[in-house]
Formats: sequence, structure tokens, C-alpha cells
Amino acid sequence: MDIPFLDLIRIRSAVETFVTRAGADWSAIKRAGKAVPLGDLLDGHPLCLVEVKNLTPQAVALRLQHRGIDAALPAGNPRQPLAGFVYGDGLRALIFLNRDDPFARRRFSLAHEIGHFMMHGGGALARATAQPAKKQMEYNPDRDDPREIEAHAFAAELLMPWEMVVHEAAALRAGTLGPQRAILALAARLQVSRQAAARRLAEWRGVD
Amino acid sequence: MNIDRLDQLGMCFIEAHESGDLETMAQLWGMAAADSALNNRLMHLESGLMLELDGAIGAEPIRLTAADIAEKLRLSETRYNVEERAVVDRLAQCEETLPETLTMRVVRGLWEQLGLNGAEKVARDFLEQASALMLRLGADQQGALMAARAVRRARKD
Repeated sequence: MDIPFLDLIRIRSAVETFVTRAGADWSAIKRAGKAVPLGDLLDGHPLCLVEVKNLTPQAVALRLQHRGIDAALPAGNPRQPLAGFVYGDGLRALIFLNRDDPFARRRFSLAHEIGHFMMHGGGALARATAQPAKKQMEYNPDRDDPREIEAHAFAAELLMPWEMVVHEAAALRAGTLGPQRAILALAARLQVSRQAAARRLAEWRGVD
Repeated sequence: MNIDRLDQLGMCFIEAHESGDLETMAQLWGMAAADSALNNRLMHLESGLMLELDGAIGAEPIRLTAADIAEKLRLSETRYNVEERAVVDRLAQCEETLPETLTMRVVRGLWEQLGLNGAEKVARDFLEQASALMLRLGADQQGALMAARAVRRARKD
């Protein structure tokens, strides 16, 4: 399934900028074919990762208040479970993740919030985006908000660039690897969830 | 009220200043009376205008030191063990200015420079406290600058 409304050139450029600003070589990372070293890349940016149990808008607001920040949070239920949340000013940001989520899902959520910071982080005071955990179909974002679609595409391009998917995708297309094995192999190698891997494989149209 | 709406009304406020539209300003302050988030935003912009009038814009930005952040860590509710408290105490003696672009890599560099070992929890808390403080200061400055820009444009007209 193709994702509508996406400017993939802009998104890939944002991914490359994120990687190179952290002092890493994006081509080399893709050639290595291993899971993208997200933590190392994050350490090179003015981004602070905060992992919180039972993450909700209310929990974020409380945490920010304790740090002296009176933030306007997105409309909606303040107790709605969240997967991730970013609060920043375009120069720096705090990224909140739900500590209860599995590792692969937290990785994707982190990449998603980084996407917001890189592409939508220039608000005068704050830019916050949340993803309800119950609807947290990774790589199947809320299609009402183009920023969510972009952030998900950013996460997919960062964690599963096509050059790193081609091995399993080509084998799947050739019939030398069954769907389940292809999904498992890709998920294990790139440290993403099976769901995210399956979606990426389903989107593969050949290397562009 | 969500952030986009606040941004939108903030821009209306600045435009009203630019054009001297007192009617719109009165309406916005009326709305702010019933909405604390909007009230905060307008107060923030207004304080920027006052700073501009007082000639305070353009002054040196506030520089944070490691000791500033250590003080925040001491005041926080986080419980540290003996080793971690020793790290906080060491940081409290460090008057080194933190760079505006503060990353975990920079924090680890500071740890190395001060000969601090381990205390990963303190390093994470340090980055969080410093980032939050910078966000607060950045927001204050941003609001002041937005308001100042509006005043300058208004003076040209």
C-alpha cells in the first residue's frame, strides 16, 4: 500500500541530516546492514530521552511542570495512554517514551518523535504530538494529521531504509523466502517489530 | 486550547499590535480571561513588548553552568545513592558554562573532564534538567523576540 501525500525526498533528506549531524555516515550505516544505532545517533543531538511508566498527556504535563514548564498539551483525554511525545522549540527537545512498551516498539516511537523534531519542531513555544497506545498500529498512523504520516514515514526511512530491506524483500519476491520468515528475519536484523517489518515489506516496489 | 490555536491567537495579538487594532486586542484579552493557557501566552508576548520598550532585548543571553543544573538536581525529588550524590556535589562546584547545543555526548564529555565515573542516572537527569531549563529560557526569549519584532514593524508604520 502506498502512503499518500508524502514528500519522500524531503523525508529522506531529513533522515540523512539527522544522521550526519550526529557525526555518522548514513551510506556506511546502510551498507553495514545492521540495526541503525539509534541511541548513538540520539546522543549527538540536543534531544533528551525520558522514559516514563504509564505515559499519558497528564503524566507529561506533570513532569514538565516539575521542570518549570507550563505546556499547552494536545486536546483530548489527558489520561489517554501514549507511546511517545515530543516537547521542543526547534533547537532542542525532550522526547518522552512509554517505558512499558516492548523494545522494538519504543525504538519505532523514538524514531517517530525524532521525525517530528526534525520536520515539525520549529514552533515558537512548543510542538507536541502524541500517539495513543491502543491505536498504536506502528507504521499505520492517524491519517487525519499529515504530520503523523510524515513522522511515521521518517521512522520507517530511518530504521528500515530500502537498501537494508532489499535482501529479504527480493527473496520474498523471488519466492526463496516465505512471508513469515522474511518478516522475522527483517524484524530481528533491524530491531523493529514484526508489524513494522511486515508493512515495510508489503510496500516494497523494488529499489528506487 | 491546543498549541496551533494558541500560536494562531498569538499571531493575531502581534498583528493587532502592529496595526494598533485595540478592538481585537480587547477581544483577545477577553478570551484570555477565561483561558489560562491563552492568558499565559498573551502575558508572555506582552512581557516581550515591555522588554523591547525598556531596551532590554539584545542583552547577553543567560548562560547556564553545570553548577546551576546541579542545584536543580539537589532540589528535585529524585533519590540518589551515596556515589550519585558525590557526583552531584562535584558538579555543584563546576562553574563551566554549558554549550547552547547540549547533547548526551557533551554531558559524557563533561563527566570525563571532571573525572566522574558511572552515575548514568545522574547524567540522564542532568541532561533532562538542563534541556528543560533551556526550553524555558528559549521560550521566554522567543516570546520577547516575537513581540519585539512586532513593535519594530509597528514603529515603521
